[in-house]
Formats: sequence, structure tokens, C-alpha cells
Amino acid sequence: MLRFILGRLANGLLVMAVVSLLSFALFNFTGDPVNNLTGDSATLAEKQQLRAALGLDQPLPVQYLKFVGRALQGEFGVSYRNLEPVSQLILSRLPATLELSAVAALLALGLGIPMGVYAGIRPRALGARGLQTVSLIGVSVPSFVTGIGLILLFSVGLNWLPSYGRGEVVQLGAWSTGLLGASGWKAIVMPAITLALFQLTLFMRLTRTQMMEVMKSEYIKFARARGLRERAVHFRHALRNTLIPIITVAGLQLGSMVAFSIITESVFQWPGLGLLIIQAITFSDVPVIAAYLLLVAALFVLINAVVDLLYVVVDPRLRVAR
Amino acid sequence: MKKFHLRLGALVLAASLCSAAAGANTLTWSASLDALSMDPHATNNTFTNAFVSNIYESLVRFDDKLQIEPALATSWKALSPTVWRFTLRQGVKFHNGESFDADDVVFSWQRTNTPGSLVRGNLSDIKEVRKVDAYAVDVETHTPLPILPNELVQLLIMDKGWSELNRATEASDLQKQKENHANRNANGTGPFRLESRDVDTRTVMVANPGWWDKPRHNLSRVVFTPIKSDATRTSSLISGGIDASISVPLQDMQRLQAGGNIQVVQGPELRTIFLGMDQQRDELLYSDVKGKNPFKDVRVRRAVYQAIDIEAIKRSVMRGASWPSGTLLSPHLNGAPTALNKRLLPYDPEASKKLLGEAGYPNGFSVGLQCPNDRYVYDEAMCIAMSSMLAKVGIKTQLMVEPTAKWSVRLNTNDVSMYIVGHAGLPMADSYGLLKDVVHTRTQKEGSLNAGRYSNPKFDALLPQIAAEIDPAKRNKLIEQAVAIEREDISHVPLHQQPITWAAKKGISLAQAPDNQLRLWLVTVPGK
Repeated sequence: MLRFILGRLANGLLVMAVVSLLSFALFNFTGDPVNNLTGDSATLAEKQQLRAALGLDQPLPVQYLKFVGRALQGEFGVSYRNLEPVSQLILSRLPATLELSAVAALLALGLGIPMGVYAGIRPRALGARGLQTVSLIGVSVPSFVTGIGLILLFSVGLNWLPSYGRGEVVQLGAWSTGLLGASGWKAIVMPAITLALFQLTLFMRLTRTQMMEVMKSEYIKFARARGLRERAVHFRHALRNTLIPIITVAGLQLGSMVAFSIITESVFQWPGLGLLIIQAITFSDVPVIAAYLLLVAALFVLINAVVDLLYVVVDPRLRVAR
Repeated sequence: MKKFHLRLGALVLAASLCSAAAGANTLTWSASLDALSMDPHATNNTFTNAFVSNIYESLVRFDDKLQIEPALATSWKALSPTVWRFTLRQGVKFHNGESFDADDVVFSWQRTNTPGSLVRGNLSDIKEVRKVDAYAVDVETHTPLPILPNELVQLLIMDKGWSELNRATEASDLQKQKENHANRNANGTGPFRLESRDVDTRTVMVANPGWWDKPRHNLSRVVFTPIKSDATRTSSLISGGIDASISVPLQDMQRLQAGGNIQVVQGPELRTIFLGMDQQRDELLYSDVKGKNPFKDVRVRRAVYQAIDIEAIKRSVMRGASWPSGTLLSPHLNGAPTALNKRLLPYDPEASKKLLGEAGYPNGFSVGLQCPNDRYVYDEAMCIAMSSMLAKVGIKTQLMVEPTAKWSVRLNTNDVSMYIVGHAGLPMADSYGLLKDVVHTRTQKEGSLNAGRYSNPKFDALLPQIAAEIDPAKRNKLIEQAVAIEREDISHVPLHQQPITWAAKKGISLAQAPDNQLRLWLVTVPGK
């Protein structure tokens, strides 16, 4: 176990180092923060002065090393766009994104897997075929179209749900939650559906394929021959064996929901990490971008580690191998 | 656990009831970006400065016709060409109750000279602000500056006492690792108090009952919610989620007007868009012409001018919402020579081809056209239209359309051959600033937007005279002379003033001004 953890840690640190180096190098070429900060009519002298003050005139390796040095001490600097310390900024946006991702994940997994199981057990049934066709829409429609479509229907047309924001938010210590009030739930419905739709259809189709394959296997036949009830066959035996690919995909998808829900958050003005990063990129807010990408790398490393641990839990064969 | 839930539920219910009760004369408005900071000295962002000008004030202010009127100063006179005396208004109180006096003015001036103050560049002509007595200050400039009040609009006054108490005596500084108290808290003298600030979510202001001026607005509460997505913002207007928006995409205008309960207000912005050309290099960076620079020949520049059909651009690209211009200056700018505001040369592709032939390019040439795609109204569409117009006379343009972040770097490093750019003559709303930034030879202090490095010594010689001329009539004459020179010489090809498009629920009056700033103290909503 200890070897496992240490191995993962070393792996993780390597990933974070590479990601941070790449992102630091790349984002220095996508725009100049000094232009955004000084404005149109600033003179050359003013721009040079600011550039020197922020240390942006130094060679890239020097800037990177300084960034790493401060990052190791937990200091990520101050956002160029809104002058708040970066760590505080990211932490304050985390609850919004985590809540949205959690609700979307519940929706995607809670609906996607049962639908996939149903479609996998009875692939030729009318309902199953219908789901297959409809799911193609879910996979092919881009999320901003879904988002705007939902807004036009439920906000502009029916006036049931708000078109932007999180609604009234309650502060519980460091966490801000919108799920304690009606307006918060109303606000989260459409963004969660938009975010979940693609994942939902993905899980549904994945589960269906896996189920169909598993149902053909020998041990299922033996289980039936032995007289087990259909429900036990489907869920206790078949579904458990389909879980490994599903967990892998679910882990990665959950990670991308947290890290890259940029489009959904932009459409609904959801004040989470996605909105933060896209605004940082437009403004060339280098401290936020660098810190954020480091965080995302750490997140994916963590998720992959958890996924690997879950394999062992789900698949008894791996326990013996260890 | 149940008790906890009950208490929490009650709290949430109470909060929502409270906000509903305070709905009397509330304005909920939106724009595409949020204000960067509530610290009035920390940023040089036009939208941010306009936003905090509802909370903080200066000695003078612009009205919605861009005329200077007294604010925290009641009168002023020039004691000498470089020293002006401002008499301060008495009886003014900050939002926290403290009195306003000369100490606050001097303190604010000093604060704009701390390292984090990016607004300092806008006040660069001011040498010093000195206290004379409790209600008078002297402002000294480096050189005579007849438009000093226009510059002073940028010096927003903060309360010395409050700043010392909250350790905010220096402007928010990017190099410090901590947040400045003034970043999300404010204490000004303005018509509105800052109630809460939630970046990218909601900024709430309430009317200041103790404001020194007679309110022409009838707002009690103002909620600002930035909405980045254009479609969402338009949908929110239609569904009633917001009352007003100052960033309305042109293509949504019809949809909004069709609704019946929304009115769209459109007017010319101060910003003039124009075409620039690299006139310094001996060989263009992005062209097939080797050994010489076609844009150095005035005949080629005239050919470019005559190839562009600005009325067609107005009709088909700008949907009728643009104001074709004959100079780089909007007629609303102080000193703009309106007599010269007609097109120098008519649209004439045949004449254009002839000129190109005379200049030695009978088959035209190819050149790169650098444009932004998220900076000006229909910037990319405009460039595509101009590209096809220029192709008709033989100038084959390779479109290089990029986001502002990259395009502005190009302008700064003179990495251009042909490009579009705009300037609004702000923050001073005066012609001199634009001419200095755009047409003056590029130096450390001038020509910051002169990416083509146009350089005309006759023009440059007039600028210091304009800067120092006290008599407005003589000053305007000098401006007209300077504009006549660069206009004949085609330093840039002027295109048009772009539209400002705002929208609000019917009955709301937004007092739109050509500088695209929302002056909340002039806004009225239906109600008491």
C-alpha cells in the first residue's frame, strides 16, 4: 500500500511539473497582460515600467523558476484582473463548480447507468431502440446550444427558471452553497442538465455495450442455469463486471466536469472555475492561469489514483494479484 | 439537526423576503464584463473607472453631453499658466459620515502616485496638488494645460481617514501578495454607496441619501450582474431577469425591439475606427512587394482610401448603425474640426486602380491585414468586407484576424502591415489626446497607438502649440491646421464612428452618452 501511494505521489509530481512548465510557456505567447492593464492610450514608457515592475521583462526560465519557488511556499500571487490573491480566488470559486459537477454527475450516473442497463438487457425492445436514437442527439448537440435552448424554453418562454447566476447563496464558513434555498435549486437545474447531457448519453451507451457483452458470457449462462432470479443476474453479476470501464470513464469525465465546464458556466454566468479560467485567458491573467492549470493537473492525478483504488475494490481478481 | 435546518431555512426565507421588500425603484443592469476593482486608483480600465465614478467623485465631472461641470469643486481659476486654484465644496460628507476637505484631495493625489496606481498615466500632466486651506487646493501642471479640468475627472477622491483606518493608503498593488481593503470596499462622496461586491456575480449599490447634489435619478438600489454570454444577456433582457444592458450585440436589436416591452437606445460612440498602414519600414513584413514599401507612396494610400466603400460597409456590415467619418476625430470631441469631417476622396475603384498604376503597381500587390475579432463592433466582418473591396482594385489582402490579446501585442511591437484600430479620445474627451496617441511620431511618450509609425514633422510641430494654447478659439484653429495636414497626407484612412447600443425596459431612461459610460445619477425608472 505504501509503495502504491509513494509511486502515485512521484508520478503526480512529475505530471504537475510538466503541465506547469508547458502552460507557463504557452500562455506567455497568447497575449500580453501589460496591454490589458495599462489601457489604450498608455505610453511606451508606462508599459515598460509596468512590465519591469511585474517581472515580465525577465527571460522565461527565470520567470518560471520564480513562479515554482513561490508556488512551493503556497504563494500564487495576485490576480491581474481583479487584484485578489489567486488562492483565495480559486477557493472561493470551487464550491460553485463542485456543486454543479456533483448535481450533474448524479444526474448523469443516476439516469445514464439504469437506462444503459435496461437497453443492454433488452437491446431489441422498442424502448431501448428509442433511447439509442435519442441519445445520439445528446452526444452530438454542443453544450452551448443545449444551454441556450433550455434558456429560451424555460426562462424566456415559460419564465419558470432564472437564466443566469446561482440564485441566493448561503455562506457556511468557507463553503457557499445554493442548494439550501429554492432559488438556488431553480438556478442549478438548467446548468446541471446542460453539463450532464453529454455524460448521460455517454454512460448510457457505454453501459449498454458493456452489458450486452457481459450478458453473452459463460458465467451468466451458468447463473441462469443455476436458477438465480433475473434481478440478481443483471445487477449482482452482470453490472458489477461492467464497472471497470465505467469507473475509468466516470473518473475522467468527472474531472473534466470540474476542470473544464467552461462553456456551461459561461452560458449561465455560473461563478465557478470554468468562468474564472476563460476570463483569465481573455485578460491574459497569467497568475490565475498558471495556478489553475497546476490545480487541474493535481485534480486529475488524484482522480486517477482514486480510480485505480476503486478497481481493486470492485474487481476481486486484482486483490489476489496484489 | 432538524433545528439547524429550520433556522437555516428561516434565514434563507428572511433574506429573500428582505430583498423583495427593498425592490422599490431597483435597477438591475448588466454588461459583458465585470468592473475590475472598487479601488478608484488601481486600474486604467474604462469600464471600471466609469463604474466607480458612481461611488467616488472628482473635483469636476462630465455630464451626459461631455461638458465639464463642477462636482467637489465649486469654481476654479488659473493663477498662472501652470497653477490653478480650485475652491472646494463645503458640507460634503463621505458615505461613512466623515467630512470632505482639502486633506482628502491631497491624500488622493498622493495615493495615485503609489506604485500600484495604474491610473497615474492618465494624470501625467499634473505635477503637484497642494493644500491652500481647508477648502482650497492648488493644482500645478508640468507645462501649461488649458484642458486641466478634463484630466482632473480621473482623480477620484478618497477619504484619508478611512484609508488610514483600513490600511489602504496605497493603491492596490499587483506586486503585493495581499488584497487591498479598497478592492472590495468603498467609501466615497458619490450618489451611490457600495453595499456588497461579489466579483463576476453581483455588485450592489444603494442611493446615498446625504449626497450634496440634487438627484436627477430616482433609484434606491442598483444591482449590477455581469453576464459574459451575449445570448444569455439578451435572453435575460427579454425574460425580465435584468432591466437594462449596456452591451447589446447589433444582431439582437431587432429581436429586442420586436418584444414590445424593451426599447433600444443607439447612438454614435466617440470611438472612430480607422485603417492604419506601416509607413516606416523600407519593406513590408507581410507583402509580396520586395525592396520598397508601397504605403510610403501617398498615391497608394489614396488608392486604398478610394477603394473602400464606407456607405456599403454601413449598410451591409453595420446594419445602418455607423457614422462614416472624414477625420479621426468624432465631432463630439472637444476641438474637433467639424468642417473637415467629410470624406477626403470619393469611393471610386477605377480611380484607385489608376493611382496604383501610376505608383508602379499596375497589377496591385498582396498585403496582410491585421484585425481583432473581439474588440470593436463587427470588426472581423468589417475587415472581410474591406478585403473584398481592396481585392477589386488589385490589392490582395491576407486576413490575419486574432483575439485582442494577440492583436494588441502586434500593435505595440509594430508587427503590422495594414491594420484596423480605434481611439475614442478618452479619458479627456478632447482632440489633442487622440492626435498625440495616434498620429504623432512614436516616442517613449507619444504615438502609443501609432503602430504604423507614421511620422510628419510639420504635424508634430503643431502639437506642443496645441497643448499649451489657452485661448479656445486659437486652440481649435491649431487643431484644424494639424488635422488638415494629416488628413491630406492620409496618415490613416478614417472609417466610421461605431454605435453604442444599449437596451432597457420601456420607461427606463439611461441618459446615454458617447463615451459609453452609464451615469447612474441620471437614470430614471418608472415609479416614484
